[in-house]
Order: sequence, then C-alpha cells, then structure tokens
Amino acid sequence: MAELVVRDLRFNVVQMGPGDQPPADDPYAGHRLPVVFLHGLIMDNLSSFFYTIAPAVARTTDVVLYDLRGHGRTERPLDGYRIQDGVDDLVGVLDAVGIEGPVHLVANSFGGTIAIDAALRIPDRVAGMVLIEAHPAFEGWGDEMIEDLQDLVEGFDGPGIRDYLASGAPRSLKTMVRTCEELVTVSSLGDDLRRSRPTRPEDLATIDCPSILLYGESSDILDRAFVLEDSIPGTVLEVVDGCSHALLMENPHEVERLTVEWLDRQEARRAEERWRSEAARRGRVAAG
Amino acid sequence: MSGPTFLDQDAAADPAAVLADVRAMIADVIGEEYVSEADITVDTAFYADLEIESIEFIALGEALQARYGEHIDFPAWIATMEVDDIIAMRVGQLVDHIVASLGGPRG
Repeated sequence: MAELVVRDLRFNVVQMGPGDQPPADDPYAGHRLPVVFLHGLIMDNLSSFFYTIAPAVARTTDVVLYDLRGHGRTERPLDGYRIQDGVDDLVGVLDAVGIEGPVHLVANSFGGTIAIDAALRIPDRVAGMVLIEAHPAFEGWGDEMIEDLQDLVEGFDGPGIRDYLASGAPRSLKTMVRTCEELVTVSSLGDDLRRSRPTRPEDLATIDCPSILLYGESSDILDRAFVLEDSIPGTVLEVVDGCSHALLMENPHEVERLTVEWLDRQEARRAEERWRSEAARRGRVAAG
Repeated sequence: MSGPTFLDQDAAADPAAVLADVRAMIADVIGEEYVSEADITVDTAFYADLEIESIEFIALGEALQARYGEHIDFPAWIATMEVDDIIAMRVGQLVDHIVASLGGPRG
C-alpha cells in the first residue's frame, strides 16, 4: 500500500512497473534501473507525473513516485524543508522500498533542486538525471523562492477571496490555499530554503552522472538552464518550443518522448558496458 | 491476465456489495468531513459531485488495487481513458467495471 514511514514521517508512495511482464520487444528488459520521480514545490504533488509521463516509463521499468514532505498526501511537519532534508527523504524512501542500487531521477522544478543536490551528495545512488525546468539552488535562490511564495499567499487576502474560500470555492482550491498557507506562513519552509547550502556552479563540475535538461523556450528561469548546461559535464539542453516553466503540463507528450528516449540511451550505454566487461572477462579466462 | 471463464464463478460479484465497498473507500480517501457514504450513489460523478482531486483519485486506485488487484489491473484500465473520460466518470462506471472484471454479476 502507498503509505511508508520514513524519518518518522508518513510518506505517500506509489510504485508502478511492468511486474513480471516486461514488453517482449524491450532489449533491456530485466536490466533497466528504477526511475524515481520528484515533483515541484507547494502546489504540486506526485499526480503531475502520475497523469503525464510516469505510466510510459513504467511500461518498461519499476518507477517510484512519492509526495515530498508537506505535499500531497504525505504528512506536513513544521520543519525539515532544507534541500538536504529532501535528499535524506529520498534516501529514506529508496531504502523503504528496498532499492539499494543507483536510480535515474526524473525531477520537475524544485524536484530538480533536490535531484542536483542528490547527485552531489549521494552519487552512488544517482545513475542519471532528467531535469525538467530544474531550479538550481544558486546563491540567493532561497530568498527568491520565498518572496514569490509570500506574494502568492498575500494574494489570498485580495478583495472577496476569503469570502469565496469560506463559501462556494471548490474543495480542491480550499485544499491548495491551506497547503500554501501552512507551508509558507506556518512551517519553517521559508527559513529552511534560505538556510540550505547553496549550489555553486563550480560544484556542478563534479557531477559525473549523465543528465539531460528540459526547459520551455519562454521559461522565466531559462538563464539557469544555460548555467547548468555550461557547468554539468556532458549534459544536454533541450528547449521545447511554445512552453513556459509549466513545460510538463503544457507539453507532456514531448517531455515523455524526450525522457523515454534518454532513458533508452542510458540503458543502451549500460548494455554496451556490460557486453565489454563480459568480453574482457572471457578474454582473461581464455588467456589465463 | 486471462479473461473470465466458467471456473471463475467463485469470483462473481454482487453489484450491491461492490458498490458498498467502493463507497467506503471513497469516503475514506476523501474524508468523512467532506463526503458521507450515504450520499454516494451509482450516479455520483467523481469530479462534478465529489470534487475529487487528482491525488485522491490515485489513492482510491491504490485502495482498489489492494482490494481487487488480483482480478483487475486498474492502472491499465485508467490508461485506456482520455482525461475527459476520467473527469466525467461516475461511481456506477467503476462498479460496473469491477463487477465485469470479477466475472459478471452473481446468479
């Protein structure tokens, strides 16, 4: 079932995969690495991947989706929202579902903030990254995020909005507003984001797993994409026409295509490495 | 998954019992403070009437999978639908699908 206790917190976790029936035409069946999805901040939860690209990935390999702490159907504690907490939560979830080896991370926006920190702090657990509209935690990032979030919450005090929320508003809107207010004004999220250790572009040069960057052409953080492209060794930037920071929602089919193709390329490369090491082993046996 | 056969008679379902199951699961997922089991009928629309949220629909799917997963692949069923179909879905459609997958109504 979907509830796992990790670091004393109840996490909503959804696992999908081909089970014992991988597609007959998948050349990498049985060898594929698991894929873990990391969603964005505040108004997001695992459903944004569940209803878009996760099912396509799950046709061939095991996938794990979970609601980040404070989000969706995971518990909302008052603290523990630093980026490194997000990485510790990720490790806890992986341990709880019994995944000990490396995984591919597919991350959106703030999920990318966590993914990048994970690639730096726990490189043995991260085999590769698909970073969709990732928000790297460069210097000043925490202040920028929390200012935007405070503006959002102050907007709820606009004329007539409280009355509407108290009466006719859809339940989903009420839930969204409550989530926002609890995270932004009650929990330590703001302070925690500010207190998180910033990522320096020179740190990114030490990332040695493969990655791909997916951004919308009119994204307001496209400048970060260019810094990531220049800083992360071997990464590739794909800019999708006609999309903003909401790329995953605006063109899920293109994000799915790029993600599935990239994952296939990683598996092809890993298959090649397995073949080479097996050939080398046989060579040694024959020579010995 | 193989289709139902005559040997599946034990799994044949009572639509009223399935509806009762589904009502309890919906109330549990959404919360009794928002919806009472008594208000859920076969005509209740998940989105228009219950205002079900996407994350709640996933949780309901998990609960259904835990209860009936031996007989029904819910993610595969949902994957055959367009978003508009999911949004317009009524409780009765879900119950019908479960009953059909369990081998049809008993009797």
